[in-house]
Amino acid sequence: MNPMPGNPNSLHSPGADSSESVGVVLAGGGSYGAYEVGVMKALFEGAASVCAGVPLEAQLFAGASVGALNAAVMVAHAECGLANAAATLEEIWRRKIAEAPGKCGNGVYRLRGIPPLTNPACALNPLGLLSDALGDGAHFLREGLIGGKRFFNSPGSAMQRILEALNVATLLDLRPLANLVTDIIPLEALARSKKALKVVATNFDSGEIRIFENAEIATVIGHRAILASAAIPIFFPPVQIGDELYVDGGTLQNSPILPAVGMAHTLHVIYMDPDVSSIPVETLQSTLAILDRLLVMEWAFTLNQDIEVVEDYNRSYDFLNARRDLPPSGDPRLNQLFKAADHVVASSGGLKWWELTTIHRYHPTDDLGDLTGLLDFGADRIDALIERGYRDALSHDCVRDGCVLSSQAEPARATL
Amino acid sequence: MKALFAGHSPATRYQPFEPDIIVASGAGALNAGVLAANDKRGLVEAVIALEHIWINHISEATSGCGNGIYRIRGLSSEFFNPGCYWSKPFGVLRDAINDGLRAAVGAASLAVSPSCLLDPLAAFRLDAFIDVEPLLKSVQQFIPLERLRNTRQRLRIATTNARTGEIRIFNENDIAQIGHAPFLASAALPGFFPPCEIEGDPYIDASLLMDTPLRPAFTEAEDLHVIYMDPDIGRIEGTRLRSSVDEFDRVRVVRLAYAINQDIRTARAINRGIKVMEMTGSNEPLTKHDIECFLRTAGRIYRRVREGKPYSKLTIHRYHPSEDLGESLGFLT
Repeated sequence: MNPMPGNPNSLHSPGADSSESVGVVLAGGGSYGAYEVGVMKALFEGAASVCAGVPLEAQLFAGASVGALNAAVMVAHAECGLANAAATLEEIWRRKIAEAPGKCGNGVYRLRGIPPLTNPACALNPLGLLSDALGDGAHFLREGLIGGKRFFNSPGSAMQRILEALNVATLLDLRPLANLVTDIIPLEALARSKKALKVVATNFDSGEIRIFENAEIATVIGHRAILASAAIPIFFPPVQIGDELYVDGGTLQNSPILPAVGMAHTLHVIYMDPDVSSIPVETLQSTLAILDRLLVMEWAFTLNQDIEVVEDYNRSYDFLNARRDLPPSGDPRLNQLFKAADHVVASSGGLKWWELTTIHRYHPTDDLGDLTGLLDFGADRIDALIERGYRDALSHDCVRDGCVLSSQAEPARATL
Repeated sequence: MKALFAGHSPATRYQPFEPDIIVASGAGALNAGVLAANDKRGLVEAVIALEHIWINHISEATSGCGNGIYRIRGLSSEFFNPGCYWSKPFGVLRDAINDGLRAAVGAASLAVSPSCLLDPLAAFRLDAFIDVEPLLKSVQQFIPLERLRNTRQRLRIATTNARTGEIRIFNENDIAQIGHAPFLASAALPGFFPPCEIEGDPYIDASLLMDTPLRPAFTEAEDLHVIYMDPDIGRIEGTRLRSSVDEFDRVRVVRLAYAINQDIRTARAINRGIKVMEMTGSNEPLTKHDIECFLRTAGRIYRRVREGKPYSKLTIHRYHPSEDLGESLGFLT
């Protein structure tokens, strides 16, 4: 989607009262998504340092992967205020998503073929265990036949055949996630919510980003939009919507800033990775650690590229506003640029509706854990992540965290 | 490249094409290095030399011993390949001893650190099974530094600093000082090949962040010829998505296509911003798209003009196959 300030769906389109439009952007990251709950709790209670005691009011929630799930819950439960919605989300994470004491497994997935006999909560339901075991047996038989057929039909080398027959996703049962999403995100509440929702998924057929919004999710697509956005490639199977396959929005935009730019002047972006340089290189002692760092680098690179787009618009805004005060130049190209700027401003009704975009970034200063942590929903860990997010929001520091601040408070020329 | 340099391509109006600069990453870095090292013979000759290197040294030629990029440690196939005894009479034995010693050191470190056995994922290194000495030898043999020092070809090799996560571009002067390390770093496919240390930092392949290093080229040239190996994603068979490796491969292609398209959008926005500047004398009305692009690029254009490095309109030619070139993980075959 074009991050155009004049987006026709804009909350601050020409004529609208746009001074307060605020959006929250929630990144993907599996179980690390609990961190977002803590940050949002602090923001919507007004406890975060950026709030100066006033609870934040947001009109837009955009998310990818687990961020999409969190965003959808916030939008669906926003009727009684965002602080209450954040409290509801926290309760969902602690009671329904985490592997809480007295609960059989987590609320997202079940590892097939490994009966959780040591968990008393599971042992109390022997029929459930039996049903899962039978289901897993049938599932492995079917997948084994498909993999075997592929192995024998492949023209490749033995190693290639083995790799082509392996499918990690067959090890996970995702019915808990499907049930959870249906349970915690009432579609009718999404439809009537005054908050805008943008769920980002990756179209695996076309390779393009697709953004699902409230009305489409509530009336046409249903919960599959959330499941598609959360379908971590390799671990979770792609989700079919219409004739096309979709996977995790984080594949292309883990922190989906661009779909939110033009919809809000101030964006609060929450993600779970530290600055790459703050992860010691001494940890690169295994393939897992290398892949983990690679993922962090890819997400940071994409995020910074998207922020660069926002900064491009902000620079242009500064230029257009300051052009009459800029020092004169004998360069004919600059004079041509000034004339073009006058032409554009005149053709756009003075661009009075256009404002600078401010981005606040909330993220940990050190590594929260490795790749294996993505699927670790242990109750203590989830509690710790929520607490950590809350504390980080209290100590949010724009200089340290690299916010993109509106340059209105600075001399306009400084950012050019 | 052969078609371009020989003047057989409609993109250059069937005229021989001589690039002012070559920007490359991954395997492209090796190609770029060979072209730069052979530029004195003319680019057509240089590309013929490159073709020869790929066919006879990099590929697993029937008469040779393995490929010119990597060797899988511990595989006994070398023992049964007569080409190996011919090309490196003592090398087979030396490799076997080296592999054995590495395995022994690995086993000893596991023995003194049994915690690794409890968390095998945290101890497992796939790149420990890959010997990149063939790549080092290929780079040293086919990209002699003394020739690079005298090349007229401007060169940019994109790598990723794994400590900072940032792209670093090495030019021909950097390479003349540092040596072959940027080529090895650019080819260091993370997870498969070990990182390459440069100035104390580990460097890896830039391809995963910037497979086609298009953006760094925006400021260096106006006419860009971009060569990459993936088809339009819609042309890759969906039915192949049955294994984890297939999905991994598709994620890679999807990310690559997305990155290229983002860069092309940026290039188009710059072109349109410049066009809006050129329209000031005319009475032609501005479209919504004109205004959008100008609002995105005006600040950038202003800054570049002030810095004395104004943008020019960019032309980008893309060369890529119209269908999938091979199976998943085929880039290692």
